[in-house]
Amino acid sequence: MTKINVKTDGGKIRIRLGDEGKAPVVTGPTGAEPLASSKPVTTKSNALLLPIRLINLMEIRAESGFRPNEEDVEIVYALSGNGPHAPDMLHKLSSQTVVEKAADDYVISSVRGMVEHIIKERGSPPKLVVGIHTHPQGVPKPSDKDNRYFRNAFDTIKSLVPEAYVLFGVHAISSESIRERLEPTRISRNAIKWSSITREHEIAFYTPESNTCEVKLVE
Amino acid sequence: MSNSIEKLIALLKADASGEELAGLLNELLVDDRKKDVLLVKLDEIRKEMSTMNSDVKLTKSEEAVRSIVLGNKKPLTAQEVAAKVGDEFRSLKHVNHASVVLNSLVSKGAIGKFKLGHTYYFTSPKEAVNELLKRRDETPDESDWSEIARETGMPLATVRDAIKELLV
Repeated sequence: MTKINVKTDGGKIRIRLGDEGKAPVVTGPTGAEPLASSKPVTTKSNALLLPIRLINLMEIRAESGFRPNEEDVEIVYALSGNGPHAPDMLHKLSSQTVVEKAADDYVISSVRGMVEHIIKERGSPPKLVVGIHTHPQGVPKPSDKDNRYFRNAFDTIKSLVPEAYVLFGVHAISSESIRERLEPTRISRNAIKWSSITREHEIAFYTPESNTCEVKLVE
Repeated sequence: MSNSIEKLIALLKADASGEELAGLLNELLVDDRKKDVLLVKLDEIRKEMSTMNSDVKLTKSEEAVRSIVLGNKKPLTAQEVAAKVGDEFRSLKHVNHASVVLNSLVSKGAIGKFKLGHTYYFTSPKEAVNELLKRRDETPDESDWSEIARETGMPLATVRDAIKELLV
């Protein structure tokens, strides 16, 4: 049975899975180092190998940006990994040093701040950085502004972590209404779709040149 | 030294959180007032912990309502549950009675509850906790279990189990 280690911190509970547990994908703010899977996931292709367990954290992060009676705003988050194709950590990037301004159709974020945040949370430079932003009630396709952002952000990320493989994601989320949960499925070469009990999610991955990047779901 | 004290020392030594627990106990036991409050709270916790056991007793009508909620893929309102109840439990067709049974199930940790707009929806504990995490901008590995338990009406132990399920 998986054991969890619990720490209290002024009301907040911080928990880590015990060593004998299945290696979890983790969110950054715990300050915990990313836990390597006992069987590293590898691929011969350049496909992004997205763990299903990470999708639940992506769902929580993407939906946590919405507030009742307030306009839906775009949010940013990032995935990082020790290998060039296998993300193992989600970074919330909610700090003001990363996100400068957010609105319903754009978000201004500091790429340098994002990378510094990722390195700090991982404790070492990542081999993979996936910068993701949401499109509330939109489609998972980059706009012209997004295309320009991808190219500029790629240059900045590479200047800070030259060895990292860099990708971008556009995470579309529907409006809120009660629905059935649908498990994640790959609906095209570069896109994954699923539903929580309140919103539909579709995320697509792109290279810095805005070409589609293959994605595969892994356990 | 009594057996209980020896056993406590052994448990604290063996537990990853033992040092933190011992620190909290030391802090509270040196003050008579705090110690008395601690005793009362520990007794409350012992009662709540009974819901951690899988053999929580449910009445027949509670069993029926639980099956409706967990057997449905979408979260349900009390009205929707009342509409789905069979003739065997006619009183449950009244929304007020269905609500009472639903909330009793939530307090026993058998189902979960969350609010969307002005309406409460009933679903599995895991889905309810997941929704609360989003509304509170928290993550499974860093969250306020007490607040989630308070907002959902579920026992703390059920919140803990749901969080663990979300992490593994």
